[in-house]
Amino acid sequence: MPTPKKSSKARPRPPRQSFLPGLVDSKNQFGGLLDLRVTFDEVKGFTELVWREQGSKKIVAVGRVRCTGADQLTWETEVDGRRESAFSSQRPDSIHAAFGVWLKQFPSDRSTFSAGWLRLQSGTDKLLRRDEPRFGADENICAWIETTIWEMAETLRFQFLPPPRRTDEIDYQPSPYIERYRRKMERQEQKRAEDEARRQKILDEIAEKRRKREQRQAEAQQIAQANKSPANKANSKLQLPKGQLSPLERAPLPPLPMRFEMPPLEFQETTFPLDDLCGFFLRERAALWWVSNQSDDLLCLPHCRIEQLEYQLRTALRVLGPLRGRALLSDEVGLGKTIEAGLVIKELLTRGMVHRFLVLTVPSLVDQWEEELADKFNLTTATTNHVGARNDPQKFWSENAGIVASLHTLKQAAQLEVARQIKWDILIVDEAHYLRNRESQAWQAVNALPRQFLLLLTATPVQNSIEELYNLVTLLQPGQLPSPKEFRARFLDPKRPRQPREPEDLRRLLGQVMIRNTRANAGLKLPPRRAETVLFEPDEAERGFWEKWEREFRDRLSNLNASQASLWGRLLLQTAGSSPAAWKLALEKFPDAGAARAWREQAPLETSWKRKCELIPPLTRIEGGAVIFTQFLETQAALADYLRGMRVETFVVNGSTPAPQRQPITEEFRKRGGALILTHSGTEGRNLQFSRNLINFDLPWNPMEIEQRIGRLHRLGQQHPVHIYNFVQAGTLQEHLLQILQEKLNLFELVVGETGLVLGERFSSDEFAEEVFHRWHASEGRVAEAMAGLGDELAAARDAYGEVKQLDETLFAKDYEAL
Amino acid sequence: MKLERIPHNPGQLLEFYEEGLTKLGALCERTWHDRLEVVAEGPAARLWHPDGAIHEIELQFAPAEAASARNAIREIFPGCPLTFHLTEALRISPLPLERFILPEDPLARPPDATVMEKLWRAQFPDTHRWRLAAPLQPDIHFALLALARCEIQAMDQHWSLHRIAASLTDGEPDPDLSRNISFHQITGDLAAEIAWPPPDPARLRELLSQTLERELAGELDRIRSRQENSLRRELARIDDYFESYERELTVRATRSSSENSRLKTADRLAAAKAEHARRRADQLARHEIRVHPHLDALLLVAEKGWRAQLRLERSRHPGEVEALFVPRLRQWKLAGRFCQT
Repeated sequence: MPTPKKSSKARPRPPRQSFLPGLVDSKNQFGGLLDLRVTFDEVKGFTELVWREQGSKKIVAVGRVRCTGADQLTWETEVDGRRESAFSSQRPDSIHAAFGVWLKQFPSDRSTFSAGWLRLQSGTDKLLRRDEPRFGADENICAWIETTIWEMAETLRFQFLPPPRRTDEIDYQPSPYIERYRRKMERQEQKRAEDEARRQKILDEIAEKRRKREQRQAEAQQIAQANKSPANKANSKLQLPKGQLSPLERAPLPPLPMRFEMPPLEFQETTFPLDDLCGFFLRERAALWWVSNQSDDLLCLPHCRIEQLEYQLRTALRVLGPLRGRALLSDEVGLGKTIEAGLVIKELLTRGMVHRFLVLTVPSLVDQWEEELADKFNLTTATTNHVGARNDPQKFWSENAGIVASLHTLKQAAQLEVARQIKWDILIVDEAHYLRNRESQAWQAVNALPRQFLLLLTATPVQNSIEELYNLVTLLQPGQLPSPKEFRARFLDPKRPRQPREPEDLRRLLGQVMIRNTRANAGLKLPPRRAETVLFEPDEAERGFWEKWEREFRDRLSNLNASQASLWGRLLLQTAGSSPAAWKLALEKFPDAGAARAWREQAPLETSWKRKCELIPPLTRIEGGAVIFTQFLETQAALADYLRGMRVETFVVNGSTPAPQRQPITEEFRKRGGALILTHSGTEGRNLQFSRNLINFDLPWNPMEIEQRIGRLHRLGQQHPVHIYNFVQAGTLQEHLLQILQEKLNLFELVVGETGLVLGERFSSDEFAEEVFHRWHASEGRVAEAMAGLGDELAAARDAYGEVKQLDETLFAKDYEAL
Repeated sequence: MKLERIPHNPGQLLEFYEEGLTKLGALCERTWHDRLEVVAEGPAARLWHPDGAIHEIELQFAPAEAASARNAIREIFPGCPLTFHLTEALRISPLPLERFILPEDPLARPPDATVMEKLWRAQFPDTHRWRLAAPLQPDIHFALLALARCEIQAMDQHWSLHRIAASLTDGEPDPDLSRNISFHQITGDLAAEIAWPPPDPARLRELLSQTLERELAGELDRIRSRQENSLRRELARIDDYFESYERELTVRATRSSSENSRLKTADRLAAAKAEHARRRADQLARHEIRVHPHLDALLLVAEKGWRAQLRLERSRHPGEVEALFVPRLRQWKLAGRFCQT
């Protein structure tokens, strides 16, 4: 352990007063006070406390305090060979509390207390022991020990901090601004924690009340039953001794039920005996070919570029087999419902059973579906994002064999009128929870489409009431569930619309149309993600320029019409957060050319650019290199130049990189490490789970895009925790945006795929970026306040999603798996 | 008899298509070793058009290992839908109960009594003092032969095709007939004199059901073993969970001295037990094995036999029984019940 560093933040050593609170007068399990020896081991990096019986050498207990995290201490004790561990933060009050527990457990005698140090002799490998001078009667031993442990922790905690923080701290002198900012962040953090605690308390209270109420009801029922039956009364007082189990629990394996369902025999009689058996044998061969033609495997697999996961293949086979091409796929988020649906489409196409397919999804996922189908299944599709869909709906819907369309587009009367004239062989509805209301336009539109096979995809089929499930299943298999009235009467409890009344029957009926894989049954477990905000500081001149520019820019935008203002506002604000090169290039076409020229000439932007870039080389030296995402080609080029100048192995992939070259470049990066710089188009189809460091060099205003970036690394096959470094300039809109995405939306903790579900209909497409821009534009400089309002909306959406997720997990736990 | 699946063989499949489509009335011509040109109308054309309008197409029979994308319109490949359509078109609905007469061996005479006695003793070792009560009379033995596609639904779905046969006389399976039916030639000699038994659907259904159950016993054993392993794992998981829960509750109850708390714990234990039983029952239901037979052909087979009235002793009791000797099987079939005299 290195010698504790006397940092400026170190707590002053307290006077060594004579005070051992609550120790000397207590009796304990060891029959009296114990001798205590404290050793601060600088070599191994821990503090060891050894308690012995008074006047003897017999060790009663050994305690060790280790620094095990950036803000974590582990308190281990060993008594009679039994080990226990506790954790505390590194704050002095936490250390005081943890140490207090030990002293209470092992009361010590101050008269025999001793302390010492174990360190290496300078310049040699020899261990040196040094005893602390005896403490005087007026010295506070406890406080001294606590302070020393705190200092040790302060010294050792740096090894647990991620590199950028260290670089940041070492390279730059903290400016008053950073201090102010730090204090502000602390206040915000404290406020957030208080809010969260309050919210949690309220939720706990509600849950507790509900639990008590249910318990009371159950008790009342059981008491009523017990009163009726004397046997029950006797049983209710029965208590099983430890380890004794009811006979049912370890009963032998019951005989498996088997049903032989011979159909009723219906035949037509023939008058004359056969002259030959040719017809019989032809029918026999036909039956044999029918059986032989049944494929137990998916024929399409050789034509798919997917990781063949057992549960996905089983799901596809079940949809194609027993479910006869109509199913509700309700896998947990992130298990690949898209892949399963793609497999079904591809298999049906391969077997020639379908020719036209239509995928309906929310607008924000249209492009993603198109990309996935092309990349993984080699299926070319037309999408409603193309101009053709708007200009000539008739041609668009009738001439494309595969279409990915947004539900919003389909709802338009002109589009629906054309789409409903076509017989779709297979219809896939992604995010099918939008069809939960049968009165809704979306439900009506989907119901109007003629289709042979139908797949509904949603991780959350029930959001408010199980009646929603009825609406989904009715789309799939009308008649599978009874009439609405009967369904309500049989399954729906009006007081508890989320709890089915006859769960067994409902489960049986749903099992015939629904598949739900869970992470547990799929055996998927990914390592954690750690997000780190890396703030870089502009110099005074730059800060002044940006403040002035924002004011002027806001004014100039007021002269443009709404769509122009939104377009230019979003472009220039985002490029400003990316790189000077991207920003300057974007300015070239700004409608107010005079202002643009002036801004370009005035802008002193090199300092912050340099500071931002300097943070990257250390990260590229970590095993697996660093994957850097940016939105702009100019930023990519400028960053690549900088890194090459710093002799960092740099690889670049963007939309202009020919498809056959992308994989070799990625492979080279995997072998050699360094930096891989990607733009959005460059990320398509890239699986980068071999790397564990992701740098968001700039921040897209679309949370789904950030999620997609994360999903490239944090996916199946990733073996290590993924570190996400978000680079933002202090005091900018990007910083506020990142803050709400991180704190309110929990973007970096959500499972890949959940962001869309949280954002839901409120921010279904490009609307999040639009909302950010409008709030910035209307804020009159008070950007933090404007973003806080958006943050509250995100937090509410996150909470609502959490409830729905919980409900669905409870309703459908482990009953509809494909495996 | 289980008929083994045919591996995908373009040549064999082409022959089947040619024969099947011709049977449906189409004109077929092999234009190349793996091509078949078809001109179809009516039932054959319904494979492509529901209205049965005339259709002309050249089918290509692709090897199984071809990796290129399939053209389901003209290409025949493993899993191809046209093969399913053709096989279904060849199936007749409702199923005809066809009749067929097995040819009589021209050299066959009434079997020797000693031989018949030996065969009887081998077949029924618990009987003694075997005697013919009257001379043998020529008679007809009837058997039912069926083709059944069996769908077994367990963790997986299994399809298999079985040719099964059973004697209408004693209801016993007739594996020889199911195995050797293809070697028998046609005969028309007996057609006029045969009094075919009136078909009884319920009895025939029962007969088929029993025979199929016996036929599938081996396969079902294997599937049952797999299902049992899976069920065992699931039940162990459930049992472990409830065991630890119950232990936890019990420990909690021992900590408290309050009577009320003990009662509550006992109630919870009872609820946990009920839930435990429900989960086990649920798992058991999920592991159920279902067998759905689908019949493709029914054939009533007639063949010459010898009826005899026999006197014999069973368990020291003398009596008479009517039996039918089937020369093909070299077996006796009991045609009536043993009557003590």
